[in-house]
This record gives sequence, C-alpha cells and structure tokens, in this order.
Amino acid sequence: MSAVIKTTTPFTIQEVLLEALEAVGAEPETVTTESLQVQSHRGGLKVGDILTNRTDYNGPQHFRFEGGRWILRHDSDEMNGIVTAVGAASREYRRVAQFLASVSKEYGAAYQRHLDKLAEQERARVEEARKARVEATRKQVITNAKAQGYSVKEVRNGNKIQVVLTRTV
Amino acid sequence: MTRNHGEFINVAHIEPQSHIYGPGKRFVIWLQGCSLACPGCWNEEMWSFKPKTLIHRDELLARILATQDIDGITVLGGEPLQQADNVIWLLNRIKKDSNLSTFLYTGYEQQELHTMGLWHGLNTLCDMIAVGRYKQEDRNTNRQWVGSENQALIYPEGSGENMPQSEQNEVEIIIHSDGALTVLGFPDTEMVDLIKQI
Repeated sequence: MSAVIKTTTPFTIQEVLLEALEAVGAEPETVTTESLQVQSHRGGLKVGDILTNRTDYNGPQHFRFEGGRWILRHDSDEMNGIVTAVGAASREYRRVAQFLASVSKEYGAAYQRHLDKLAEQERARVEEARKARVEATRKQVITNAKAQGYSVKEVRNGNKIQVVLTRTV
Repeated sequence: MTRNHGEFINVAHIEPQSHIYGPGKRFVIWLQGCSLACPGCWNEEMWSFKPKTLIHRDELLARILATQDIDGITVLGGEPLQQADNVIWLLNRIKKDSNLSTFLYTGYEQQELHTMGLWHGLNTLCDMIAVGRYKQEDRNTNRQWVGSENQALIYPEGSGENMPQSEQNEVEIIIHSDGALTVLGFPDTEMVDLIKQI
C-alpha cells in the first residue's frame, strides 16, 4: 500500500529543508529515540527522519534521507490525509504534489540564504586570517627592531600600520 | 627618453603620511628619473626617466592640500631638480596655499645649484634642503635625514623649521592591510636582512 514518491527538487541539505518546511507551515520535527516511543508509522520511523504535521493512512508523512537526498514518505493514495497542525495558520490538507511544489519553492529561497550565510562565514574566515597575518607581521617587525636596539613608535593610519623605528647613536 | 612631460610630474612613489623625512608628519614624494647615478644609490630603480606615474601638478597639489594632519611636504627621488620647473611650481604653490613646511632633497651641490640658477628660488621656497651626492664610501646611516657624511642639511634664511638634525638612524616600516611591507628610510644591512626574513 505504501509507496515512495520521489520529489523533483533534490532536498539535499537538512538545515535548508527544515527552514523550507517551517516556511510552508509543516511544523517539522526531527525524530529522536525518545519520540520514537510515542510516534509510529506503518512503514516504520527512524531516528533522524523529519516529521511533518501531515498524516495519512500510514501515519505521519515524513522525510527520510536516502541516496543523498531527503524523500517524502507518504501513502500513495493519501488516504485519510489531514493536517494535524499545532500552531500552523492553515489546517487545509493539500495534495502531496502541491505540498512538495510549495516546499521546493521555499527550499530554493532557503538555499540561497544558506549560500549567503556560507559566503559570509567564508568572508569572515578569510578576514580573520588576514588580520592574524598582519598581526603576526607587526609582532615580528617590532621584535626584530627591538632586538636591533631601535625604539619603536606605532601609528595606525587607516588600514595600514606605520612602525617608526629610531636608534640613537 | 624625454624628461619633459609638460605640467605632468613623473612620480616614483608617494607616502602621504611619513614620519622620518623631516620634522613631523609629512607628505613625501619620490620623483622618477635621475642622471646623477651615484654609485651605491638606495633607489636605483628611480634612475630611469621612463614615466612611472605621471601626475598633473594641479592634481598633486590638490592631493597634498587635501591630506589631513600633516606638517609639511618632502620631495626627493630620483633627482627632483631634473624636473625643476614643476618642482619649483609645486613648492611655490605650497607656500602660497598652505602653512606646510617644505623639505627638498637634491643630489646637486649648493654651488651647482647656483650655476644652474636654481639656488635663489629654492632658498626662498624651501624650509630645509639636503644637498650633495650620495657617496657610498661616506655612507652613514646614523645622520638623521641624510645617507652619507658629505651631504649637507641647509636651513635657508627665513626657514620655518628649526628642528636640529640628530645623530640617529630612522626607519619606517609600513604594514599594509594584506601583510605586505614597505620599508622607508635608512635601514642598515642587518635590518634589511631581518625584514627580508619576515
């Protein structure tokens, strides 16, 4: 009775999928060892599956990570399909194809935000590395100068550091 | 290779806020081109008269006047007086348009400047003039502002500067935002070696 319908959009990143599911009001919840004791599904649930607030004949529709992507597992006929929303604005049950189209759309937007976040993290990492390199150079310049008997005066000038070395005879 | 670029100045390098080429904080301009070619010169790459960066003198003046928190300008090279018309124009305008002091380095001796007909003008427009060839055999990195024993530091009559020259070695190291270094001044061999290791 149970079937797996593969979505056309490959949902590959859990964090992005969770964000997309939140956005469509699916109230995602990740299955844990504890929640397995109170949740059930005719096809079985595993720790790590992502539950939605949509249920059908088989139990809660959920995403499972298989073959490098998250796939929605649901009853092929969507028999007794309902939304058991807790806090979602709408309890209207939409067909799986419609639901996945919405998730795909939100996934695309969330994916872009994810890329922006990664770019920002990378930018911050590169900037930190640059600052560390400049600081290491500054320390080395000052250490070498002092070892040569120079007195050192340091001036910050915009994004440059000017180190003035004076050695009185 | 032409040395005359009209009202454009052939510039080798600019350091808008340096601390070791005269009293206080100064806008320092190294001019490109020098035929004096002193043996052992620190700046051989500034001998060529091939244009390095041509800057219109009006633009250079504007940049100097727009630089905040400086006490004066210093012109060196290269040989600044091989671009004498523009250098004198610049010094003249600085004197007219600002309170900045002026310090000129030249490899020419004072007598040569007289012969060239430049001394009177420089004497009026400069607060400090360092004159004389760099002599490798008389190298002395411990004379503030100059590089060899024979070079003389002159404070023309009417100079606004009176800070005496000290017996000290000065080096300025600029650490750029990417970690690159610019080294200015009179580093001795040991210092140069240490910097190369960084």
